[in-house]
Amino acid sequence: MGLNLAVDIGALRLPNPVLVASGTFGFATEYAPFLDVDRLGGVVLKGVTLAPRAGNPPPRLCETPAGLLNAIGLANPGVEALVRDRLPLLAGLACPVIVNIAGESVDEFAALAKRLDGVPRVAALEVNVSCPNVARGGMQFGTDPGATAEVVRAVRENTDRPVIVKLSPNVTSIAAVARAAFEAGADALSLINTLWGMAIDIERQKPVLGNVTGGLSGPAVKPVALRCVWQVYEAVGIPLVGMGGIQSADDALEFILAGATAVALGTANFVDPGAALTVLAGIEAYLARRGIGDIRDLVGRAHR
Amino acid sequence: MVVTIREGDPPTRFPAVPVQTERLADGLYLFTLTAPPLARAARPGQFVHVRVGGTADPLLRRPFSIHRVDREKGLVFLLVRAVGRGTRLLAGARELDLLGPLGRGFTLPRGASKLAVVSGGMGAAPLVFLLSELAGHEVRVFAGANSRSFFPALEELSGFPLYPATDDGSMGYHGPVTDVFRAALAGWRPDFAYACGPYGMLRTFGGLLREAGVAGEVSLEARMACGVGACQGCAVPVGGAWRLVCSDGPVFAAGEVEWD
Repeated sequence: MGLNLAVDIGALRLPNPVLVASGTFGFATEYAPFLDVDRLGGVVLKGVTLAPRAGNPPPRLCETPAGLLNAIGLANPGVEALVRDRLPLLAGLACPVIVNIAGESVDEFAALAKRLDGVPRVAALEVNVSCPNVARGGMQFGTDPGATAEVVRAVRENTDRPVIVKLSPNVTSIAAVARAAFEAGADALSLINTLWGMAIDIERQKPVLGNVTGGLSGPAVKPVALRCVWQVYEAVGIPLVGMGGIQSADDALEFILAGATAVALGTANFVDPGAALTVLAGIEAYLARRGIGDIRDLVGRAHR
Repeated sequence: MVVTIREGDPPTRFPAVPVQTERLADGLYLFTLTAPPLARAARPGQFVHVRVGGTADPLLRRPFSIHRVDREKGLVFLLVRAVGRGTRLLAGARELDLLGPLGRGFTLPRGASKLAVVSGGMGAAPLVFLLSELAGHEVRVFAGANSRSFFPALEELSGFPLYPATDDGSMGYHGPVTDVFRAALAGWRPDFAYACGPYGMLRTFGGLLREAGVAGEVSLEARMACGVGACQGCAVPVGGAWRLVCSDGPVFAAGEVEWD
């Protein structure tokens, strides 16, 4: 009477469906003092670019009602430092490592995929075509189905690893972008990246964020994220990783019922570093209570 | 004695029970928490990241400098000014969820014996902890606040000469504390100097150290989310790069901070 929690994201087998989202968990070692990282379904590392990136001028953060605006600007040490300094630290990690890549051009995406192909510990690539905080690349690609397809094809041609495309909610039809990514060879889709937003300091009479605009995350965005997962599940037949404001097992179950094969916690990690494992335990308890032996039976059930 | 961070002390997460909440002045509270592992591990200048409620709003943790510890009794003291919703909730909390000790604290160069400590308002929070470990040195404390009513927060400094300054003139010099520090530097040259306080005060302090050719450290603050070096949110310009207040700091070499 074993309970199956393992799920497949394309060719990537996750031991359980609870991931931590890119940009909210660093390179995983930062959180090691606070939770048993081995027990996660997987970790999605901070987005990396070809060259190191310093990131945006501060302030980079602004808390909003039940939410967080960020404009980090993809600050990262670059793909070479990732391979040389960071990935070796994860050699003993029990769960899969997904590397988020962000290019400023199609060629950069291709180069990133090629550089990481065959590198130990890289279980899959998450293609970041949805960052709202960079001047070039990011959301520019992910809000255009044609540009998304071009990026996905370039990555696909340069890696044997599963390709997960991270979608932006800042579009009129997320289903159209999802279909374009699918047709270009994506193995799975992750959604959503942050919602494009801003805040203004009424005393200084200026935008709060150094970058003027930023990306909104946290509980405030959950209904939007859930709607996106729902629509994309109906549009394409590949696995989805659902995220956006998940704080509890109940939240995660909503995403799974809407069509997500796996879920990721982002902002919740800042609030409670143990949140992902609490969510996992809650999902297990739900399955036991409902007499469901396999998490996969729950995926998309709200559509049926 | 050398004050250094023991890199071997990992931060932990634990519930801490406030055993006493003392109102020191209008909106100013001293929290006494029972947290023996934190009291043992904490070094001056480090901070704790505190969850202020179980709700989604306010959402994020709030960072607080460790004000003082009593290692024998396993107590940790936090100095809290109830300004925002987060700190107001904290002032009424029955149990706190803490991450800590976090960040890199103050250091003391070998051989430094004459030390200046310059505090501005709530900047006193980490400096009181620092001062508790500076016995045996020639220390001068320059402390500024809005008014006399703030000074109970500095009671622990009684062992050192105190040069107070207030915005309203109710105690000591009437004006910015950096004026007092500037005047003192004319006849007294510290080997090393520390400061914590509002940004403008720290900038002035940094300028004074540069002019006097004195090395020192400042503790900075920034809007913070993760507190552990993961989110890159609390970047400040230091030494030609963006450094993180939470994990590279909050204490930085005064001469490396690039002031606005």
